[in-house]
Amino acid sequence: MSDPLIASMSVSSSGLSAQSLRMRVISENLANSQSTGASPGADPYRRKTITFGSTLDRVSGATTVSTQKIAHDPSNFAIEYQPGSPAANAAGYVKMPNVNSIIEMADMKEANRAYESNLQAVRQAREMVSMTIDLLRSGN
Amino acid sequence: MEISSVIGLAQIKAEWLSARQIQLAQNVANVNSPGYKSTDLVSFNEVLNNLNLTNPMNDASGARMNFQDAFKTVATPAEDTSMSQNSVSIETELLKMSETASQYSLTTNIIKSFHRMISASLKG
Repeated sequence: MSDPLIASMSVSSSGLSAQSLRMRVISENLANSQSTGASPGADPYRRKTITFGSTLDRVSGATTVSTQKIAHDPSNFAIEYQPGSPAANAAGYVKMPNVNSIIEMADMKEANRAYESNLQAVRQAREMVSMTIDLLRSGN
Repeated sequence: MEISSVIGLAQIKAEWLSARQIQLAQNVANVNSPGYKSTDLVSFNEVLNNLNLTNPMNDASGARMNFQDAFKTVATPAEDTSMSQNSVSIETELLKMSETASQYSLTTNIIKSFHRMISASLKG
C-alpha cells in the first residue's frame, strides 16, 4: 500500500480529469448548438452526455472516478423554418440541434464547483505532507 | 505517561488522519458518480478502544503494531440522496477535510514539542 496522502492526491486528480472531460463535452455541445446537417433533411448535431462511475484503483486500494461513457441525448430536434438553408427539406424546414444552452451553462457551473472542491482536496493533502516534512526541521 | 508513548499515540493519530483523508478525497472525486455512497472511517475513539493500548506489552515500546486493520470504513449517514442515488454532500466533505487538516497540524505540533523536550533533556 502506497502512502495514503499521495494516494488521496491521485484520487483527487482522477476527479480533476473527470471534471475537465465533462467541461470538454459541455463546450462541444455549446460550440455545435447551431450545427445543422449539410444535405436537405439531414440530422443536425446531437447533444452529448457524460456519465461517471467509481472504479477501484488496485495499486493504492482507493476508489477513483472514471468516465463510464459518453452517450448521445435521444431527445427530439427543434424544427425551424429556414427555406434558404442547405439543410432545409422540401417544405423549407430545418432540424436544429437538441442543445439547450441554459442546461449547458448550469452543467458548466456544476463542473466548475466540483473541479474546485477536488482542487481543494489536493491542496489539503499537500499541506498535510508539508506539515510532516516540517517535523524534520524542528530538530535544532 | 512516557514521552515515547505520547509520540507513538501521535503517530497512530497521524496515520488515522491520512487514511481518513483518502476516504474524503474519494467522496469528493465521486460527487457525480451515480449510485456512489459516501464513506468515512470509524472514529478515532473506537480505533483506540480496539487497539487495547492500556496493555503495556502493546505499547509503542514493543514491536510495531498492525493498526492499519483497525481503520475500518463505514457508510456516512445520508443527509440527502440525489436522483442518481448519490449521497455525497460536498459541503460536509470539505468541512471534514479542513477538520482533518487542523487535527493533523495539532498532531505534528505535539510531536514537535515533545521532540524539543527530548533534545532539551539530552543537551542539559
